[in-house]
Amino acid sequence: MKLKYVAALAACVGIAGCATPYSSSGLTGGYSQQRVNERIVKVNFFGNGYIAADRVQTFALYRCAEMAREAKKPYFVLYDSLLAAARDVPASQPRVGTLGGKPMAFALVKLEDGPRPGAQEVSAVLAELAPQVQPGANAAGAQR
Amino acid sequence: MNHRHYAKYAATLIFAAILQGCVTTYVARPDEPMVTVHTVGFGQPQMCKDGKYYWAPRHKSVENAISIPAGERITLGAHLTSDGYQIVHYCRPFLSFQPKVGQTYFMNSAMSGDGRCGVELVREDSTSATGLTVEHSVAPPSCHGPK
Repeated sequence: MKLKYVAALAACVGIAGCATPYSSSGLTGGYSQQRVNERIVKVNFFGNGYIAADRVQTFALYRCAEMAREAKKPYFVLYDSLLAAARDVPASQPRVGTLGGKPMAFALVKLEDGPRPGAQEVSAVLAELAPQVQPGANAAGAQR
Repeated sequence: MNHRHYAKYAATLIFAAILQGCVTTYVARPDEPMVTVHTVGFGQPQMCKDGKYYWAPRHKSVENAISIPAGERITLGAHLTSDGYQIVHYCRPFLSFQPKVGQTYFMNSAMSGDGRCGVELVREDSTSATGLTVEHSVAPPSCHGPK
């Protein structure tokens, strides 16, 4: 009986003591996507109280690039608000904020077949951020 | 447990029930013109009509969308919460706009800094590069009733 309590306590401490890893949304946070319309997808990254806001922002940007790679698109344009998307004014980073010490970031993403003003190259973003997002992954792996 | 304790619990329960009952979901008249607002932000959407705040009714057939009355200025926003460490943090950003029958809107509510939050609303426009355009009727909230 005591062992069960110790195990449960250890699990709680383990969960609470871990910063949000880069993964799809789970118990400690993570990324999720929502289609806004035919052209735009919203990418969210939720962090817990153990991860810094700038890291959540980096994770969100990496997910934008990863999503573009999955769709076989070489470029993407990122907007940090609906208004910016309506005005077609790209941003370089997702928007990040915190509530109750928990950071959250989001970006609206438009996938592109070629370069255009404000567009980011998928392979370049993945290569640059992979060492921060997935320690141990090399740039070649990130460019798959 | 003595009578005083029961009274305390009862008072707490009644207070909680009153708080819960402050905001109800808006029920449209059968003939009331409505518009669709796609919600892409965090939090539970709230609206205000005739000086009273309501939970915005979910769209019957569209996922992540609400239906709100058209034809008059409506205050719209969201109730954002974050709980943990025995404290519930919340933020309630609002704006107002004039929904027009036949138009489709998109609302986003999000944190924009440390503890600050915001809400924005745009309109569908299939001719623009992103399928979205600026909604020029957006203004500060016009409803000042209790939330």
